[in-house]
Amino acid sequence: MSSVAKKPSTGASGGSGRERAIDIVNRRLAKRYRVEKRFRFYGLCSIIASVVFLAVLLTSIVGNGYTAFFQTYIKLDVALDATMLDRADPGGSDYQGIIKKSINKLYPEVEDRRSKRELYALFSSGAAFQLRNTVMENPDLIGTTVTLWVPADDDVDMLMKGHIKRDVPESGRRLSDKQLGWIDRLAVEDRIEKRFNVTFFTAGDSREPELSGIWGAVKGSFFTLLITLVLSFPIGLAAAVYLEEFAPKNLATDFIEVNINNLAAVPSIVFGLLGLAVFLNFFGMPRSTPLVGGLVLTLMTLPTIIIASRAALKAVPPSIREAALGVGSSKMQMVSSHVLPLALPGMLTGTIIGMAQALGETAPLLMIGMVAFIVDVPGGFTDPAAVMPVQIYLWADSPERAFLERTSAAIMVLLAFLILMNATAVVMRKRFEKRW
Amino acid sequence: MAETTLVGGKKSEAFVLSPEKLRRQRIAKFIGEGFLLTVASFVAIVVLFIFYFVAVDAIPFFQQRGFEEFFTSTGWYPADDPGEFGALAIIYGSGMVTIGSALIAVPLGISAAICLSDVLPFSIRQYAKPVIEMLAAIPSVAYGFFALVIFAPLLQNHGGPILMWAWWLIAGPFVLLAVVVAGDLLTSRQTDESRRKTMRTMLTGVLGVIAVVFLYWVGKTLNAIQILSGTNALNVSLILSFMALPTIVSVSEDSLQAVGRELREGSYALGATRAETLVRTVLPAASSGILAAVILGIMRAIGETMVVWMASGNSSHIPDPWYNYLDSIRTLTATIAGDMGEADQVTGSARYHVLFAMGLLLLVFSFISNLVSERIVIRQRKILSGE
Repeated sequence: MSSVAKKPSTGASGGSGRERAIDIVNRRLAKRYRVEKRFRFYGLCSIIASVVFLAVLLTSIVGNGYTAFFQTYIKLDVALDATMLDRADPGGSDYQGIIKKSINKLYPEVEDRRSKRELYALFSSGAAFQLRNTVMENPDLIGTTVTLWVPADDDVDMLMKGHIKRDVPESGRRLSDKQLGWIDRLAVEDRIEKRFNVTFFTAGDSREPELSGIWGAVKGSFFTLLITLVLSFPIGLAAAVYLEEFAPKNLATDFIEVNINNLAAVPSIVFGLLGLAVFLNFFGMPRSTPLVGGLVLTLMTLPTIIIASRAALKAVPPSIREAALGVGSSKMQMVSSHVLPLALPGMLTGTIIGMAQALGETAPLLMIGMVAFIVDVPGGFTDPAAVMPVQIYLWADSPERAFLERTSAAIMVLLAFLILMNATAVVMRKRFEKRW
Repeated sequence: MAETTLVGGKKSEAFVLSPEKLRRQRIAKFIGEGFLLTVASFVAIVVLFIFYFVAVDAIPFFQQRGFEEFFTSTGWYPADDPGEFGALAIIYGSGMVTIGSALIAVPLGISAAICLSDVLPFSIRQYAKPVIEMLAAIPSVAYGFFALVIFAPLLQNHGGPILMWAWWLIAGPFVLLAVVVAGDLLTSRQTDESRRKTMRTMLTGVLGVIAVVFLYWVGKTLNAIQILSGTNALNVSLILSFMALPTIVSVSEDSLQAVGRELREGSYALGATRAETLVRTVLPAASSGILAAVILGIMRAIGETMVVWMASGNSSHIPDPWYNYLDSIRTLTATIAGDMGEADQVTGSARYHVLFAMGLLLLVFSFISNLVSERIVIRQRKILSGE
């Protein structure tokens, strides 16, 4: 502020015709305070910008996604004709045919083939599976008429949720005028309603939006994270303990430290390249499995865990170590029975944050083939599986409108897990934080 | 070992380990420490391992095709026979989104960091910080979805008005501020106080009118722009800047906190306001740490895959004109992610190896920037601790 220094000297004498020094100083001061205010305003603006961005992001995802938790179902009276069902082997019957027959009974006036096909398209192909499961569970139903709520096709679902507009000309709509009429009749007869979408939480992936769910991806993520946790926690812990407690200060230690930071800086996609080149092509491990995914993510999360664990170890005051050594314990005993238990909460916090990172990671898993379309829910570490972020990516790529809301809903579920993990970490840190 | 009788009548020998026990303890120590050293060096070796395996698969590409095509040609037709593997446009695209996101994230991040560390009262700070940290917790695929499904159509349909309002909101205050400052500076030579005032008012008025006309004209021009595709460099830069924000904020905040109290208090004692203290004392002292933060943030933007793969348009050409952020681009990470699915079928071909060459490029770049940023942080720590 060179100008600040100059000004007061001009008015120092304080003659009656000239401004008094104090006025100049005050004016200057007022200006400086204005600058101060403006400065604070800029800072606030930047924080508000990030808050607004986060709010827009979350609301748009929730706004797009919450409807996916409900799904349109249609009530169907199915006559389980004993002639069409084999009591001895109920699994092998033509359930699709039975469903079609019940639909025909609902709309006896529809006769020509094309109209019939349009009519059947209102019902999900999952209806037959549902009927089959019902009959298999309770074969005594054969011969009676059961009332089933079967899932509607995704187009009907979208219409009910207002995503397909009725005022669009027929050619630009996914449902024809005839189909709209049938749906309206269902609504009048109270045969159509929105219910909680259980399928979304219990099914694997599917080409049909109304039959797809995230359970397969959740399980895949679980297996993958389990491998990651089992490998990265002990390795990260051991490395941190060595570097903090045992490592002599020499070139080799420096080298290890530099490389841990380097590992943290490696772009995630490169881990995918490594997984592809080493685990898949070199060791020939099975493609798109939680095993390989877990290995790749282990490498990715190690630096996070090591850095957090080192910070936790550093926070344990030297007096504890000296006291342990003073009563005659060896260095190993000092670490394992005094330093480690005290540092463990901090280490676990770091591990949880690392796991959260691994849970949200997509790119490296694309490289090891986890983008494959997998319907079956994985049962183990070497079954092909999708993980949640990859499932989201796959759905985001699908053209159907119904997958859009499912994508958002899956992101909501993933975010819920991530927030839960991060919140646990924060709470743990608060709870076990010791002031020495 | 001198034998002295202790209080309880025990000999001190009881407290001395027998040679047998001593040896056993030494072996245990040796094994334990050896094990820990092995694990720790395993982590370090992983980095070399990554480097080695990526390089081993990248070298065949350069052996087959040489360096020139990869770095100077923009023709990217890997699927053709014979393919073209010019990555210049792809490298350019990576650079473009990185610079774009840095332009947004750096000023935003630094002012947020200053605000968090020095300006805001604790009661607000307590809530503001987790919000910014939450930006880091959101998975990249969610950002990608947002960019692709929500932001891109918005940009495509209402691109002009969005640009106009952004221009007015961001550039408006700055231009008006510049007018006031310019009026002040241009008349500062005038010694007579009353003449200075009139001159300043006039100058500021004239400049202000020019500035408003300028703002309006640019805004109108932007309003008329039709964005052909919402999946473009601007979209990706904006989203990436918010992804890089938490890194920049937390690292620069750390380095602002590392500046000791005595510097701040010294400045206050001399009569400086908070803004003056921050801009003239704290920021210069923390500048190297902030630089490190910027480098780390930029690395996050370069290494990000999902957002650019989903929302950059993936067309491998240098935009025309070269600064056109409304054009689609393609980046290194997106190319690796997108092409590997097919390239993996032809393991050993140039098409497969070229992706590893790109990976190697990313790897080398990230190592260099990491080392540079680390150097900077270490230097700052030394200077601040007065060594």
